[in-house]
Amino acid sequence: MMRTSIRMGAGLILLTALALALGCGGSRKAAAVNPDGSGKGQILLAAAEPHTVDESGGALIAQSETATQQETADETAEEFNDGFDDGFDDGFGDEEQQQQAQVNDPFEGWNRFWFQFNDGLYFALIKPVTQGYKYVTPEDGRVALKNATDNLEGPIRFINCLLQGKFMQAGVEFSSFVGNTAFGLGGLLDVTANKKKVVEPTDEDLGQTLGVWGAGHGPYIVWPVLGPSSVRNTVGKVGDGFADPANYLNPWYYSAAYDAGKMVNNLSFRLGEYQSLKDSAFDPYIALRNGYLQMREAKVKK
Amino acid sequence: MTRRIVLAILALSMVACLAGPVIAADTDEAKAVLKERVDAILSILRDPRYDEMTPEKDKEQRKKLTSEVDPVFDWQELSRRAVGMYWKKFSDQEKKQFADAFSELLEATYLDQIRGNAQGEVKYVGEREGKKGKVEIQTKVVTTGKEIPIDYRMHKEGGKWMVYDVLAEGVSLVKNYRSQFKEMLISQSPAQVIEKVRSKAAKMQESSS
Repeated sequence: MMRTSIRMGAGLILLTALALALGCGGSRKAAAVNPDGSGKGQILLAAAEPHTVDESGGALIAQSETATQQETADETAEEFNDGFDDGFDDGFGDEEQQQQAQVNDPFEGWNRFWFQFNDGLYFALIKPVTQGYKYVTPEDGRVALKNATDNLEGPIRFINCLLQGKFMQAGVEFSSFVGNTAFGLGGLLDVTANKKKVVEPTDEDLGQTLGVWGAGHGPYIVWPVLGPSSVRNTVGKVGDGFADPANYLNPWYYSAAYDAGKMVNNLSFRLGEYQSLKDSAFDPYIALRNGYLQMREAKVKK
Repeated sequence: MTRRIVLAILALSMVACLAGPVIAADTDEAKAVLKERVDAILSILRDPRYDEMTPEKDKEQRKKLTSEVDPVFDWQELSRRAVGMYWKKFSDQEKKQFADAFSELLEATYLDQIRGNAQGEVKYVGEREGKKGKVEIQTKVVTTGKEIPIDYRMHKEGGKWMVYDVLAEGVSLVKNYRSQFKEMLISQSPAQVIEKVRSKAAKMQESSS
């Protein structure tokens, strides 16, 4: 018992140190993991501030022009071959979106730069820190922390269920939140996990809500530190931020610390996934872009 | 006249009743084939014999797993879909070479993945039907702290149900590779791409063993 608590303590200290390092590194909202903590290779995810676009806009145009030209040529080739391509439609209804998803990357130059940057950051800092954290923190502790952070995001999921008209699912989210907060030590225990539910909840967020309402992905964007996103999901992320209690912590670096800690904790269950995505890919940038867009598309449909 | 219409409706509904179970049998059949393989793979992964791993045992386990995975995958179709519209640029021989190399790469990748989740429980959560006799069997691999949805898309080839695409978290493996091969085949010949697939497969096998 004594040893366990020492290991827990060491884990927490490590987390805080990382959080402060990231927080002081400049970006105000240092890090957020995707709210569902899922997604192959999608470790760092969007919640960035819109002004970053302005800063970089000028430099982007030149780079993106060549990219766009190539993509357009590509598209025509696809059109030309429509008849043959039809042979791949297996009737599950995701073929068309897939083709759209691939071409919309006007900021490829910028995106590739930050992809490289994030990749370096992951292997140099985030992965070793997470490994250290995973080593010193017992699994029970990590699971409890994950339950607690997931539970705190309950209101976000609840609101988005309502916005998408999924009232049964909203009810499930609501009762889980109340149940876990009241009877699960403020969410540390997931007491409702094994209860039979009227519908199995799928993680909803504002990006998906906008998708359900008919908004397309918009251009694909890779944010520094936060990783792959799209215009739609960035807007969604910022919107969801208003419903995240962690963002109302004062001073601001507590929020940053919370987000960084959440990221490391969630990642501790998924270490190695990014590595294997990267290893099996011919062009990791394209593999991640395609994977991210496919995954978001699949979520909107659920 | 009315009697005729009523009769027609009756006849139609009877046909519909007959058709229902027939279609359901398709997904059940595919599911049974898949489940058999998954169970076999899990039992190899959990075999206490491999608790202590030596390089020889690792090789042996890998071989056993491959022999279970291989027969249920339709590598030819998988390759055709992964390459997409450029497939017709490949000669028959190149098609075969590509399928061989690609199957090795995917097996190495797939084995890596399932070995990491060996303790997970596999749940069969649903199924769907596509066009032209294609089915999707939806599973979930549940381990501590995460649930990974994995869907298998299957079709009947030569009277056997075979997998032609795997979706992890809604991400189709075939489409993910297609987006990459597409870029490569704009500027490279099929032979060059086959060579790249081969060296990648060799590297994957090396790094995971």
